Amino acid sequence: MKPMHRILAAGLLAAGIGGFAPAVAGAQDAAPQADAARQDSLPPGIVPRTPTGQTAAEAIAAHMAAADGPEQPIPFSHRFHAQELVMQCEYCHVGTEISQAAVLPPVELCMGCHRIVGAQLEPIQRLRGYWEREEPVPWERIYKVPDFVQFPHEAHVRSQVDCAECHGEVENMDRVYKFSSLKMGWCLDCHWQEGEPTDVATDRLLVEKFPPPQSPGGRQPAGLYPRDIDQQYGANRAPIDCSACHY
Amino acid sequence: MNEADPRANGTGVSGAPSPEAPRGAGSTTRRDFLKVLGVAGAGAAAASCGPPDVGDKLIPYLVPPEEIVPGTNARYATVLAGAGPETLGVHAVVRDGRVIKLEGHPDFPNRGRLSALAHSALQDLYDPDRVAGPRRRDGEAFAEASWDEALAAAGEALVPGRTLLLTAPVTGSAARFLAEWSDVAGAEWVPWEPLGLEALRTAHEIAFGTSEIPSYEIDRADRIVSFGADFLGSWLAPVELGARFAGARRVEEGRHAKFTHVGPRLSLTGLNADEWLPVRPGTEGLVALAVAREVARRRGGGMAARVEGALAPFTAEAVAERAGIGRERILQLAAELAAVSAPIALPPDVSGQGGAAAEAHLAVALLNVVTGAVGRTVRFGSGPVRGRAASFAELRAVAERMRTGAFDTVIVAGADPVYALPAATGFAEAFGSVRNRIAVSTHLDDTASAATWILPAHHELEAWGDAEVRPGWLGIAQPVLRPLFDTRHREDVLLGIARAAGRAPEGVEDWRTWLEARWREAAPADRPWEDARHAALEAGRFQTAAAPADPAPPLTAAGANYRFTLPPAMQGLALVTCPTAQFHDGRGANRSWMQELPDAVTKAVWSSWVEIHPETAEPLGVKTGDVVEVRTGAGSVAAPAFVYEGIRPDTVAVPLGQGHRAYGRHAAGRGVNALDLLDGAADTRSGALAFVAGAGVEITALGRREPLPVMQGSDTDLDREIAELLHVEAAAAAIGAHHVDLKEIVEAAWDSDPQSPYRWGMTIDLNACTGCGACVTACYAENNIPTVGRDLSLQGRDMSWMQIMRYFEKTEDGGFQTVHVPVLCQQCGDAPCEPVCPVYAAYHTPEGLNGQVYNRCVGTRYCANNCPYKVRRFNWFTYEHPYPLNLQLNPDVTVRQTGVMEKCTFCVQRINRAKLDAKRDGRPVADGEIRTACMQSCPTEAIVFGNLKDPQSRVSLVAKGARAYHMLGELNTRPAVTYLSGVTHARPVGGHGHGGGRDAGHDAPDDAGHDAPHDAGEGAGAGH
Repeated sequence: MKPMHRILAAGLLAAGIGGFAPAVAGAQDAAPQADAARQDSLPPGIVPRTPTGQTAAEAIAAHMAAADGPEQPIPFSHRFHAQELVMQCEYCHVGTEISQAAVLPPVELCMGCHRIVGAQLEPIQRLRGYWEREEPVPWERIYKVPDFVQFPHEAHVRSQVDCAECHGEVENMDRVYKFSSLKMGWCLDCHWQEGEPTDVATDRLLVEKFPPPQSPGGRQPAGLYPRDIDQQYGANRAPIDCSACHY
Repeated sequence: MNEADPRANGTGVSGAPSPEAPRGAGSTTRRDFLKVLGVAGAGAAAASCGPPDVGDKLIPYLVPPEEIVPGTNARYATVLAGAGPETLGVHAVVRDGRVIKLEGHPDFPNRGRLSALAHSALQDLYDPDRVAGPRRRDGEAFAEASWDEALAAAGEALVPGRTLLLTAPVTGSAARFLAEWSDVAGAEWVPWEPLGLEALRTAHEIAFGTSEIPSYEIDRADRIVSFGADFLGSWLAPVELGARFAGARRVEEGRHAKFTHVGPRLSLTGLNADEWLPVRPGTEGLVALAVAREVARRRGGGMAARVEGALAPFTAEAVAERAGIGRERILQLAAELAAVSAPIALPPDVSGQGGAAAEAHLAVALLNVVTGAVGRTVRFGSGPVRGRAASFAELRAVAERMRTGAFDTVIVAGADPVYALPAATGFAEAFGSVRNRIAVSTHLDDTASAATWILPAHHELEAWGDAEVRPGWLGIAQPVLRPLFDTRHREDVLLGIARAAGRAPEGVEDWRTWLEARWREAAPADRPWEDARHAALEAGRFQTAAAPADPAPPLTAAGANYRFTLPPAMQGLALVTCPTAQFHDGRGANRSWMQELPDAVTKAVWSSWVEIHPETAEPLGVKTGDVVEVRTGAGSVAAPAFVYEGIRPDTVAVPLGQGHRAYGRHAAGRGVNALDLLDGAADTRSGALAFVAGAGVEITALGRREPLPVMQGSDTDLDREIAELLHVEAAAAAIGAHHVDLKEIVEAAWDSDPQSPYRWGMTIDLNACTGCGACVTACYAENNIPTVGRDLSLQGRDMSWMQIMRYFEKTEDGGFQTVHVPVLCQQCGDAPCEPVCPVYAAYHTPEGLNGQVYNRCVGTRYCANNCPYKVRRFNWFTYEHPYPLNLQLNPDVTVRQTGVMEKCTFCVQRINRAKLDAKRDGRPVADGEIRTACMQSCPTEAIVFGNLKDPQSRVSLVAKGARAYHMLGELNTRPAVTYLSGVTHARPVGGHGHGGGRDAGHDAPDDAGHDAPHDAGEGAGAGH
């Protein structure tokens, strides 16, 4: 099987990277060109600029200046990629709907674009350094559930939980920070809402310990599964049983 | 890859304590600890609440491998030729680039099942004691070297005509490669294995004109006799033969072949026999001859006349005297064999191999001929394929040539002759006298430690290769992870050596290219090679044309007229050395799972022992745990005694496989090497080593104790409805005094949420369970169970979630029958553990499981105290998994730490996985979709798991059977585990069978000197 992201990468490059348009910029933005071949892809004196008029260099500066979240080995701006370039989360984080891990993009995927795009920028050259040294980029970890919690991304993505519900509006974060507490009560805020808690002692215990918020609301049932199966098997309710996550 | 590289976390090899030395053990007393905690604990405790805010690194792939999605399992089909007596097909479960579990390949002779030893191949792969790169001898130690240096040095040593290559036997392409390599390189190639089959092959050569191993189709038999073969534990193909054995004894299908064990000692296999003929060691073949003579006499006909001459001297009287049993027992066995249509006789294994090994095998072959088994239950042409192997005598001759300077260079690849040959052979000295000693091995074993150069080879799981499983059936081995260390393919190392010497075979680029070319030759030509290759890798096999074979080759004249010798009657004490399921020929000794797997017979761990009958022990004043010295003409060993009724009074037994001088942290210096007791005598016909010593054996008590960690406190169930045994007629008549009311289990208010569609349950068939221990080790692998080492085992602090209790049940004839009872958490509907937990860490899940929430557990241990089954385990320490053993840990299961209670979860991670998959597809979980690790591994399919709320599920149907009962049923805990009584042809005392024990002297739980003080709170299993 050819990995999906490779196909996507080829397609995206052909389509011109989400409306990435060349624009004339001031001379101070033109970094020294390391690679003459790469220079050929853009006319001299032209730097990339998004439709909103922001340059990559500005995004990098914004990452460096951000107040929250750890500094990353490469000043990667989620806002720039997700909002300015309108890239979908799943373009890079491939497999979240089939894996319990939210998959981190391989360096190869970054290089799929950045062999050409932004090749003159210092952080991209740093990325190329990792690629050429055959080293993975040691990203700083932001979200981590403890070892005694089993968290399957796939179940949440398939239940149409939006990425932003847990990770916040990443498309507005220059530097990603920890948006949610990841504490158990926070998990249960959602889980208990999905249906009627069942009438066994432990579930009652949980409901007592983590009382539901006073104001109704929150997500509607996902509707991903046929209604009759939900009724027949109670599959609609997000599990609130301890052993759903702790084992 | 979402987890950081463990190497980056600084979990180094050096200085990491072994699992035997848990952090904190012995260094700080509890009192000191509390004092320290009082000062420094408050701040630390406050900081430790809630999930960590800052984590470690997230390491992505550089280039993602195709087919791999991080966080999901990939499965690769491969074969393991070196993971025990048989070649096994496996599925390697790989997560994020590392193999975390081995599972049986369903389309191989092992039918999707694996042995305990095969599971532990993972620990062999991830052994911290593996040789990490080329090494050069530097005085007493080894120094690191580069491959260039190593190959150049070895190449220089490759003197044509004066080089020996010693390997394990190989089949398939490797056999051809090694033959070609040694031709071109001018080396002499000797393949050899310690527990060889040379006697069997020689006997078949004489009897049938073929040295092949037949297929022993026990499942077709209606009467089974084993002349000592431990075919359920260590002989030939335990997984396959175990499955076949269970197939012959499915009571519900109306069949239960009676099984008789002939031999001086009850091995794992012997404990599963309905009848025991305790003959003197080495006389198994004589008994087979007497039985064959009697069967021939009763059957009459042409065959009887043909073999009359060979069998005539072996009257029941003459043999009974030498074998030390009553003649009527021989006649009775013969009468029963003559009366059935499809009996099978299995030959001795090495533990019955005396001076006339080939004759014993020939005797059994003759018996199979006269009973008509050959061609029916013993079928030639479709048996396991074994590579050419030198006999013990041939290897002894090689050692002699080494000593006299015939070789300048000896290359040992994948064998450990320094350990696995009796010291009396003088191999170690002869090897030490050779100038260039090159070890191409994975471990620093006894042989490699004596080498001048070590050129480490890939582990099987890291290597390309193939192995012939059956005639024409090539199993394909593919690497399932990247090599962990700076190692190379064995064949590439040999190529490199030959190249450095300028004598490499022409046109061979490297092993993998050469191997693919061989496969391409073998592949069917009807489709493109790429397709064929892909299909073969996916299936794990190539099918090539096999020569048609006669399943029943006729008896040769040489066989029919063979002149057997009637040896003189033996006097005095005899010694038997016997292989075990966990160590096999010693290869299992450095794997902590194997050291901690209780031996099927003694239930001892981390030890060597001497099995001795109570009648012999009493005059010596010896109890279990008293050190005795066994002395023969060749040498002596001292080890704790194990007083055992399953051995003849005039025989002592010492297990093989321990007593390594090197090999690694767990093996080195542990126990004794039973081979030290053997004088290296060989059978004149086959050259097989005599593993039995019949003369000059002395045993003395040394007057000191060395506690033997025996993981079972009582040898009987003390009439407590733990182990149940039915006579075969009672089972057939469906008398179920303890009939299980499934409705009650499923519908009782506490058992599970009425709205939940599931109530998980399990059945364990004690008639099928052989006690092999495969489930126990599968559970260790699946559930990240730590091993605790000898000292903590002695304190009863083992962590096994599943223990196989072996209970002796008295029979009316004065003997005893054994019931193997796997004891795991019973997932009670009305569980005593749950209400006593002050923090709700032990709780009832909606699906009827007894959940255990590790992060909530505060370690009061009330639950373990209240558990009547004693299946809960407490983490007294945080046990370490030194790199790279940590790579084996299952990411789906929490690694527990100090102060936490744990127990069997019914593999809840597999349940949750199946529920997620079912949800994805919009359907309920299907029956059979969830297989717990123990169920998946069981060779005899004794374990069934499923949903008790589905009346048509397999587990529901089995649990409603007539033999069903609940362990300690009178406690009304409504367990989800339902046992099916064992079934025997002997008559258990008291009709229903849980009566009595062995004899009065052995009933009391604290008798027999067992040293494991299993107190009620943290004990280990229902029998304590």
